[in-house]
Order: sequence, then C-alpha cells, then structure tokens
Amino acid sequence: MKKIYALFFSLTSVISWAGAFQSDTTKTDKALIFGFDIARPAINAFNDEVTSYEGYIAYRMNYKYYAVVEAGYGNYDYSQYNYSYSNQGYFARIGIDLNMLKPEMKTGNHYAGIGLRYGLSIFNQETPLFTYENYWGEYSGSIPVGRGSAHFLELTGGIKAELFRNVLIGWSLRLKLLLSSSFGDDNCPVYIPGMSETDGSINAGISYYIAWQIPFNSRSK
Amino acid sequence: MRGLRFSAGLIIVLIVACSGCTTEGCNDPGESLMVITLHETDNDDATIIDSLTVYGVGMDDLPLYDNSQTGKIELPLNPASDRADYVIVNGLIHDTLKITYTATQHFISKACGYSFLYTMGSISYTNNRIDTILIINNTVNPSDEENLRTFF
Repeated sequence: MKKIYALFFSLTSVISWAGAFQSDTTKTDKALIFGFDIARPAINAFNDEVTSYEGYIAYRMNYKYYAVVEAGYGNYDYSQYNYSYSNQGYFARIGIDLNMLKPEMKTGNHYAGIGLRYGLSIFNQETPLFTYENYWGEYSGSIPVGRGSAHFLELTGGIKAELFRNVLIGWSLRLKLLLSSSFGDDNCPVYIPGMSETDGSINAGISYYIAWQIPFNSRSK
Repeated sequence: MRGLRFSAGLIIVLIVACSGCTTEGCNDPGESLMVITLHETDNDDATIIDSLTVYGVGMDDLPLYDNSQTGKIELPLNPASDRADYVIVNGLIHDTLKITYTATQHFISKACGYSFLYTMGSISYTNNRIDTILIINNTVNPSDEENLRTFF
C-alpha cells in the first residue's frame, strides 16, 4: 500500500510540474474548486500517532486570485517514557492564493503560486499520565481533558495542474506560525489539528491535493 | 516566468526555513532549582564557603553538596509536597531551612515532557550558623535567578 502511494505521488508530481509550466493561452473562467488532501491517508498509514483528514473549497475570482477555505480533522496520540498525550479536534483556515502563472503562459487551468492563510483550531487535549523525577523521588500526575483553541498563520507555496478536464492535482508546502493557544505556556499543546506537532512556534507541512473544478460561464482576464 | 522563479524560490525558502523546526532528544530537562547565594553578614559581600554540606531532611545519605567549596547552592524542590526541608552544614554547625511553595506543572517540549515551576510562600530557618535569609525572588524556574540570599 505504501509503495503504491509513493509511486502515485511520484508520477503525479512529474505530471503536475510538466502541466503547470506549459506555454500557451487559455480562458480564465471564474470557478468553484473542491479539493481533498490525498496525502493525509498516506501519512495516516505511515504514522501511528496521527490520523487526520483535510479538504478545501476555493473560488477562482480571476486568473490570479483564489479565495480559499480549508477544513479538517486531526487526532493525535503520543506516548514516551515520561508522559502520554492525546489531542482531538477540528480546524478551519481561510485565506487567499495568488497564481503566478499568467493566462498566456499556460494551457489549461494550472496554478503555481503562493498563498496566505489564517487558521483556527478547536480541540480537546489530555495528558493521562506524566512522570517527573528529581532528588526527592518520582512524581506522577495527570492533566485532565481540556477544551481550547489555537490561532495560526500559514504561508503556502505550490502548484496544481489540470490532469484531466476540470480535474486538478498538485501540492503545496506550508510554513506554519503559531500565534496563540488558549492553554498558555504551562500546558502547551504537543499537537494542534491543522498545524501538526508544535515543538517551537514554527513548523512545516505539505498538502497533496486532488480537486474538481466547476467553471462558471463568465470570463475575465 | 518571473512569477514561476519567485514561486520556486519561495518553496526553497520554506524548505530551508523549516529544516530545523523540530527538536530531537531532550537536551534541556529544565529543572527548576531554588538558587541561594551566600553572603557575609558583616559587609553584605558575596562569599565562598570552604566546606558546605546540604541534604534534604531524612536524606543525609544523599547529600546535594558534600563538603563543597561554593558561593551558591541550587536546591531541587519536591513537586509531590508543598514543603521541602533541608539541612545546611557550614563547617560542623548544622542549620535547618524549611521552604513552603506551590508547584505548577509546566510543559517543556515534546522530547522532554513536563517539569515544574514553583512559587515560594514562606521560609523558616534556625540561626545556629545562619544569621538571616532574605527572599529575593519567589518564582523558582529553570533560569539561574537568585531566589534566596543567605547571610552567615
């Protein structure tokens, strides 16, 4: 299963690069785009700690600007020698994508550009057990389930290519910056849905999308 | 093509910027230690004591300092209690220091897990060799800040 995923991603990466950088002219209809992150099931298969799913809806205003709403679910269970931790919740991101490909540079509805997102995550976290050892001996404690939220920003960069008519595939890299967490400094989340693990306030992620596009009749350039 | 080059450049920047974002291994467990500086009563100057022994009450077989030459001692507090008692032996003269506090668990990092921060309440001590102990800062955290100033 893992080899099939790897082969699939490799092939579609090559196709999306090639497709996105062809030179020709094309129409740039307004369009509604529905996408699903197909990297999530692959990461879930590789990583025992995380189960997450993510999708998005984008509105292509013209060849350059896309309004984007992303949403998803994350579940995280982690355990090591001195603590165990679980987190479960939902997230949403809202933002804009800027297509660097001009219409005269491409055939089809391709995208290569950057984007900015604001993210909100609402989740429950729990530390069922932690231990701490010093001169006085070993202490064990727990932190009960708490519900909270986190705010973050993302800078994205990536490509999407029209693999078949109105079917797009592509990826984006994400640089994520944690703005705040309602749990405060003493109980910082190990994981935040939509932002992944949070050692440090900055981390990175990748999304690999397949998307369906519904073009409208109106045209703009 | 300028846009494409910009996009490719951005992706490279993202990769490079994020290559060091996560920490592997616990390099700093971040134990909060009560920092006590040692001073001379007569002139308030910091001093170095030639032979100082410190241990927790009932734990004399496990000294924190054992006939040490030092000008500062750092004492671990007990998160399972709201009080820690120590014996301080300067030369051959014994004193007892009792500290009350509240402990708060504190997340350090994914690799390290949890530690504790403390807020000191009160102190009491015997005056066999110790003259005075002043509370300088009642927050005990992993920093090296002075918490108590002891005058001999």
